[in-house]
Amino acid sequence: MSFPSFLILLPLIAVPIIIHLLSSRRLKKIDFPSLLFIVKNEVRLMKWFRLKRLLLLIARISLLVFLILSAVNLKIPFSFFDPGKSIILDNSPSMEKTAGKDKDGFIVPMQSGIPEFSSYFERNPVGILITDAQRNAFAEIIREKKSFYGIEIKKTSFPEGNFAVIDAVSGPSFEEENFSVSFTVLNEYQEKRKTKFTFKSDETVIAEDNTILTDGKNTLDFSLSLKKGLHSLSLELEDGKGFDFDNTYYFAVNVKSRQDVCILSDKYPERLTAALSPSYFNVKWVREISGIKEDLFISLNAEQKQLRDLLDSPNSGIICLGESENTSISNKIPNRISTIVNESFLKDFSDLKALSQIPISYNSLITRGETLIYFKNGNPFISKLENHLILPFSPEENDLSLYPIFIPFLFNLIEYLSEQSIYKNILLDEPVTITSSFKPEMISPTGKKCYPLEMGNDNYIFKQTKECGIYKIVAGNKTIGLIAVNNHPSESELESLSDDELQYIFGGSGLSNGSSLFLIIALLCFVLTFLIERKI
Amino acid sequence: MELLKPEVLEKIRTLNLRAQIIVKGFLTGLHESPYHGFSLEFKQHRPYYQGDPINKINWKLYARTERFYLKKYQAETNLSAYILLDKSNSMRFGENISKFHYARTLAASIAYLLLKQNDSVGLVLFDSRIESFIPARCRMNHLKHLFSTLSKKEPSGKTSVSDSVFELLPLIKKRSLFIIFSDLLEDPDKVTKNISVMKAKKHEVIVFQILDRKELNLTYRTEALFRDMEDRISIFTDPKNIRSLYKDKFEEFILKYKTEFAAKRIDYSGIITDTPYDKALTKYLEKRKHLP
Repeated sequence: MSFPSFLILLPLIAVPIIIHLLSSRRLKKIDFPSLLFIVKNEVRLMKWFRLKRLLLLIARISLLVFLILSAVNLKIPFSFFDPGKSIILDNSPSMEKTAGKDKDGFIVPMQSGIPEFSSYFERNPVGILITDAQRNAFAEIIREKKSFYGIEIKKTSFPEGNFAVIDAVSGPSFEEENFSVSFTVLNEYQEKRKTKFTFKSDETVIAEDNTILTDGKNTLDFSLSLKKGLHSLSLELEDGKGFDFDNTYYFAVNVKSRQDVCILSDKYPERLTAALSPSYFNVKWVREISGIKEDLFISLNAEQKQLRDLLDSPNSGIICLGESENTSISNKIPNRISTIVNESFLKDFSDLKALSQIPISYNSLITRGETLIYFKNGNPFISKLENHLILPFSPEENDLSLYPIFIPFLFNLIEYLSEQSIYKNILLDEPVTITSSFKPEMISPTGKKCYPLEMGNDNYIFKQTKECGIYKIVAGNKTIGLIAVNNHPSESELESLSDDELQYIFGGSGLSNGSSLFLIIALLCFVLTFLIERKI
Repeated sequence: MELLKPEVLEKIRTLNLRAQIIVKGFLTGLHESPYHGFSLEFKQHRPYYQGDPINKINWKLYARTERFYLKKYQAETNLSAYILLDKSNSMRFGENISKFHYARTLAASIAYLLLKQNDSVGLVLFDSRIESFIPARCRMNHLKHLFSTLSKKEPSGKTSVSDSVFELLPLIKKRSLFIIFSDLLEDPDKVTKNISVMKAKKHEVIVFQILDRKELNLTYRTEALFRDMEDRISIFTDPKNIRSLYKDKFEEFILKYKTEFAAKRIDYSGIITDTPYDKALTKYLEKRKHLP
């Protein structure tokens, strides 16, 4: 029970007072056969009787008051019956390095500390918490209006300011092309400030210079050329005057070759070409199957004979059935409109929710292959047949291709069919799902091995990423992917909790939990009550 | 005997039945009834048969006749007994059973016992003066009258055994046995003095002082206003403080009665209201046995 709640219990104090008032009105009277042997000591006794009643009243009220105080964990300005205190260290990022002369920071922040300790506080209400009281770390506690009494706060100095890299974006990266990456840097010194940056690719410094950052958000753009494959990038800021936290940002990229996409269609595929033209695919249109070389293909309204040849083709492709008659893999059906089920085999395709809200019309019912996505009516939306994906409609004739979501959807389908490398950029504590035919392992930036949970269908999930940096995904002895893990941008926000807020959460530092003391006093009051009633 | 416990018997509403149960239960419990030995008068001799008690043999007759004879008795009819029951307000006191109720049941039992032995029984109910007087009769249907009077009366008035006794004496001409039931909560000197007058007039007296255990030990816990049941005077006191002194004084008071009555050869017996009736009756019979 928190301190203000104890007001609800206050009326209980009235109970002994009422008992006292009622009993004082009724002096016990005893009819006795003879008073021959009863000794008179009325005056002295009456004084004692009144005193006793008063003492009883005080003792009973005190008993209740101290019981209530004990129940509400009221704090006292001195330590009583100290059973030993835990020292709890806030290891949130802001505790990593603090600006200032004394540089009294801690060096191994691994996670958002305070939320982790929230449940610990509830189990162990006595302890010393060393923290810089960064608002972000206490966000959950404040949101849930939790309060902890008995935790003494030792507040470390709060950083005067901070340079933090909070985000990075890049376009698709292709072999032999310049690759641009743009980092967002937060200057919280509330002034223009010169800082040194170091930009690394695979631990090799590729750019190093000084820059002047204005107050607030800044952008640092880099352009570089990378070889085909996975690369880990990092940008580190360092102020000459002090140290900053969250000042390194990790970023994983996959540099690929341009993908040739061949569209097989009788008519010019206007919509598909438009959708793929601003992308990084080499798109060409052919009328005959013989025109498809080593490319990935998209076929529209293929006839039965063409279909047979396409399915036998060693090339991967997307076969769009459209309004074709019955084929070996589909049946022609009257026009149906449905939405899709929001579950995707395309793990990277986060916009499937948006796609699932669009009604899609189709005229074919796919009868073969493994269905990867269903319509809500149970019909297949995408099926996989050998190394091909089958769609029950033609994008050229379907309204779906007019929606903006179609382009990323199509990209993801092409990515799915082409050779993939795993690379992801996630935030701390975010789970990662990996699709691999081998059971992968993840090696943390400090070299710790993480093992995944098997989710079926070659999917593995790594639930906890506790360190910032680049994690390697290893299957067998081969690195099959990179995961860049960074702090949540809000971790970099500099704002300390006010003393009032800390007072609310922890009841003020330097105070101890008085429950034990109040309980003992209540017990003494009870004994006193008993003794007074027995007249000692 | 569980059945003869006062609190158990008090549940039986009819005094008559209560008395019968007590007496019959009491007689059943006796191995050798003293009842046959004292209130009966010699009638004739009968020959000794094997198995008869040897101490009953008339040795004088044996000396004359050289044959064993046993004395045969018949009940006396000329013993006149008066039961004097204190019905003052102080007799109302009692934790489980009031002193009055206890004394009344005991008096009824003795009356029943006496009438069963063909003695004549009378009843006197008194407080500071005589309230009811029923002359002694020896018919069994007289019992009904006695029980009816006993049942109707409830405690009231102030105690004065001495005055009541003084008032009673002129009414009794014949030599009688007086059985007094009272808490005797008055001046012992005055009480013993007047009762000794009875003795002087050749009457036999047995005194039962009926007391409650709480009254004896003052087992109250908290301070209270103690109110005299007879004259309504109140005293505020803490029983825990005065208990020891109180008990000493009460014991001294009882001892005074004991010594005074013993000196005057008056049978005295203190009975506490939690004593089973059979034990109380035994006390009566023990006293009665010593009477001529």
